[in-house]
Amino acid sequence: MSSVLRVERGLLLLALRRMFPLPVVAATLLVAAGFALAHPASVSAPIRRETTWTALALVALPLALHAAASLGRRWRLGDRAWLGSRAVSRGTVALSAWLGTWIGAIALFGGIALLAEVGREDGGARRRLRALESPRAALVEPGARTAWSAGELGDGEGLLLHLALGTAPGSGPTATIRATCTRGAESSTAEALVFGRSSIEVEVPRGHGEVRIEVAKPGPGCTVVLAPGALSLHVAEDRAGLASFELFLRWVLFVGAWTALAMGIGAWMRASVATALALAAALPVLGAGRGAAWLPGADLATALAEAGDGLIPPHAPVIALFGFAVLALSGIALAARGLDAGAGDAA
Amino acid sequence: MSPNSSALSLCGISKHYRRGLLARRVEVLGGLDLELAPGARLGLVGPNGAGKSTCLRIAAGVEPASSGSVAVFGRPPRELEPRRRTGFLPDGAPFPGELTARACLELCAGIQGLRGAGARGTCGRMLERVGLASVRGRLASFSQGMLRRFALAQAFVCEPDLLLLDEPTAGLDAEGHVVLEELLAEAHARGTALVLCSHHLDEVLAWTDEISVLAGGTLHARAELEIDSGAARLEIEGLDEPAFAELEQWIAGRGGRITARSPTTRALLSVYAELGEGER
Repeated sequence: MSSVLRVERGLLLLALRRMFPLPVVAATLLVAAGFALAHPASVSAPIRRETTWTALALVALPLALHAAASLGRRWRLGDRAWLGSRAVSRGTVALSAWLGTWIGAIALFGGIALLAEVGREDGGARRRLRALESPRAALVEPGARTAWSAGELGDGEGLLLHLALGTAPGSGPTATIRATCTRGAESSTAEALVFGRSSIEVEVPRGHGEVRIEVAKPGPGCTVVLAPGALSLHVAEDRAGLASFELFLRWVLFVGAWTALAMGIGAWMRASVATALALAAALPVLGAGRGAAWLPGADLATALAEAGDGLIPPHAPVIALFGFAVLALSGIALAARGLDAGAGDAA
Repeated sequence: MSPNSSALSLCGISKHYRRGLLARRVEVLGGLDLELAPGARLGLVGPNGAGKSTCLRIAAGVEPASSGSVAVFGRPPRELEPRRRTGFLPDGAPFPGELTARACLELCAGIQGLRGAGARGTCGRMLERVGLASVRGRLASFSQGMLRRFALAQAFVCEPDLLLLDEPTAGLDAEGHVVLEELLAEAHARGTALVLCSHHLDEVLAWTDEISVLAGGTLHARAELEIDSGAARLEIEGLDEPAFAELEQWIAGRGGRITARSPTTRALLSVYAELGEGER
């Protein structure tokens, strides 16, 4: 078998076309219209963004995986008869077909991104950069305070420390909290009224050196609780819609890797079984968390939750590109081998 | 490729499939040997299930042989170079129904290396020849005959050096028959080698130079067809009834007799084609 690998435009377009049969296009437009027309004013923009992404992406994902898994079956049932004798390697067939499916999926998820942002005012927002260490503490008495070092955070415009706080049940309705951020001789302070689950943001002074943070309850009020992981570093951004862009990039990598694997599995078995297997393997990845950063889409659940909180998720980790390449190439190789594996079963 | 290499060489080819729950072994081809020189035309005949289509699919590189060696112009058929030089007309109509005839033909030609504006022109002319140039619908909406015409177009469009045709006239109307005959004549003039599988012996006799009989997965006979130049046999076309009666009388007067009389296929086809033209 020749090892020549290239992208065959015609095969790519054929796969793209097969990704969107008429019933799928009609159903997609119907769902999209429903989401675009529904604008309940009581639902906040971040919640709507999170809901749109969660609902539609979980519909689009099996669709994309099934389209990819079906390519193997199509090959066995017909394509091999007309394409198998042509001057094109199986690797090229698999690569081109996957690219077509992936581009189709990108279009699908791009549509979801547009729907998630349509009709929303695109004001300022915060991008979550990373989590910082914070102590476990409870501010009980008036004048109670706790202070710790957030380390060297680097210099940058619009850096903010975001502290999530909660009130202890039964200790009272509210309390005023003051947060002070100090870097060298510079400091900045913010005050907020805390009730239930609240947060407070304080600017990080420009410059270099260790950043210290102090949280105090200057007056009377309920008990305020700090949990480990409550502190994170944010940066101010001009456009809240960037949240959808970050989610879109994550889905693109995730669906790219898993459509390749679904296509690879589908070349060896029935499309429905291959789709089920690919879904069963892919869905747990969505919640794997940032610990498995090399897996594309591992932090999608976290990123969706952040978007729901009105934050812009951090940029997807670069190492996810490596994971994406490994998974995609494995799927393409599996598919290229699988296209020939069924030859002995042909009638 | 060596200059003397065959257009197609099958050596000891066998093919078996596994069928059913117990993976029962079904042998389709068993030790088939076949050599085809460049420019030669071979007809492959045999009963249903003899292995003709399998033999062509193996030669085209669509599926591998279970054992034995295959070479197309001296190279394995799985390599891209021999594939560029091969035109394959598969059994049935397996083409992607989502595409129009033009899109699919341009895709097929593009894969074979025929690209750009020149390719579009060549594809357009080929569609014109097979009568599909003005058909706008997708292949899924084509009738069996139209699909067969398309199958002809995709096999011939790149002017291959080796043609592998599996039942090319199945479902083809008379006009398509004439087009196929013309395309085959042109291919022969270019020196294209041909393997033609058919159940119709008259087609094989008309379009090939030698015939192999395939049965039970092996070649049973191979014979070259020669035009008998002796006076023992004579074929005459175009006589009307009174002239034929006169001829019969003349032959009988000299001790001979007419053993068979039938309308010539060619003459019938011409009438059919003219009728078709008239209807359009």
